[in-house]
Amino acid sequence: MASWFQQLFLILTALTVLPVQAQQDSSNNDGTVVIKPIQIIEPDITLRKTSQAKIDDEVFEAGVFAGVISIEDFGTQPLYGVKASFHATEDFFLQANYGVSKAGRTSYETINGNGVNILTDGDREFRYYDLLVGYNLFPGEAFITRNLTLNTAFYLVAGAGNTRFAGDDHFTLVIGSGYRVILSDWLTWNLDYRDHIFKTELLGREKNSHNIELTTGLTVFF
Amino acid sequence: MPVFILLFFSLWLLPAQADNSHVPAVSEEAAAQALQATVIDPYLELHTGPGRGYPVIYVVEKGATIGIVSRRTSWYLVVDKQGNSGWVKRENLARTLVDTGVPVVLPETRHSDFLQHRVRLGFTLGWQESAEQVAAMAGFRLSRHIGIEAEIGQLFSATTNGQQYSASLILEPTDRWAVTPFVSLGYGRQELELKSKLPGNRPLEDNFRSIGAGVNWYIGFNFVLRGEYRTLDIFSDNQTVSNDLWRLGFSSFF
Repeated sequence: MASWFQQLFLILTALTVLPVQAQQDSSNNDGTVVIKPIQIIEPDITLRKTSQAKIDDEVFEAGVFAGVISIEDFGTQPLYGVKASFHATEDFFLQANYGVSKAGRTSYETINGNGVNILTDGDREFRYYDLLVGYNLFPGEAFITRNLTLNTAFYLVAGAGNTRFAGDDHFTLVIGSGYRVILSDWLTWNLDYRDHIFKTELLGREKNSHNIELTTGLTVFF
Repeated sequence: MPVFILLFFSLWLLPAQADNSHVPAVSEEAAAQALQATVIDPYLELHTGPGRGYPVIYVVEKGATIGIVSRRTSWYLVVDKQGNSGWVKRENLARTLVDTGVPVVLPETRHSDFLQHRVRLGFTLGWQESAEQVAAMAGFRLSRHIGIEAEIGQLFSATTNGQQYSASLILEPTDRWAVTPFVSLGYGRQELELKSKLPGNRPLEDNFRSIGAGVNWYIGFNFVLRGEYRTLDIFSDNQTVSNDLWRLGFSSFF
């Protein structure tokens, strides 16, 4: 490599310098510009690669949420969960959620007293996961006080997942919206609304059950 | 419930920033470690947020040095010599030079440059005959035109629930367009469980082979929307059953 390069360098230098020298000798008298020999610099490929690597990417967001979910026919119950998002572009993000709740008693069960149970205790577990696409519809700023402004975004989400309820898996469509307030360079606060829609036959007829979730949570950017 | 209330009210106890700038304050240490670059355009505009519409808060003049601290999607947090920080769009930051005199190296805007040896993560939603299918997918690009993808999914039908695992080879003949066709060849396994818990109902475990075609639409520089059709040949005990699978996918690579 080096010897080959040296040879090339010498040849090129000879080719460039000699004519210039000859030119200088012949043309210095009539005031022409002196051309310096061309410098050959070996390109440093590795340096170009490191530029991007030195910049810290912050496109993942993960955190916890808590709130309430209204499970159709089974009352409104506390809900807890974890979420992770990947911000693909400034407009779009992908999000995965996992949430856990426990259904209450239906009015039918309550009216008929303690002896009547549609579900066993274990089957009242309500667990879901979903995979969503999000779109930052209205990015903006919120003016909290005169001296405090925070970046915010109102976003829409849609996707699907699985709800495990009443001892069965249900294919679930999820639509919703949310509001994100960026508290600092690494911490965000979210307020989320979601509707989990799945088919159920628990109470006789098959129907689409709508399960409305309202949660709030904190996530960190990394 | 008490946890929820506590969490809600704890938000008001968060330390508020002292000044009215809500751009992340960059510590001197971070600024010193940041990649240094020189502005070559007449000026560089620093915005208050990493997104469309955020106002310009500072302007850095030509010839001044900035430190590039972090990236959030296609925006970069930069800090100038006076300690002012703000967000700069990738296209504008590309007009700066690092100390070796070459432009700052940032991901190119053409997705084909971004596809080389990149990991892809995403999910798909669709229908296999009358059953709904949802799957999480991880992919890796072996070369410009060939990728491998592994997926794990769930099937939901009126009578059965089940899991699917499969691996596919994805062949994409071109990477020059924003919308590119592809073909897929795959092999996998599905395990179906009958919903009715009658005695003698055993889970059905079958292998399948798939062949399919679809379209990838590259949005932005690393977000992909996919529409796809596959035909699955499922090898059950004594016969081969053919299933149609139609689905929509969302993925991103980095």
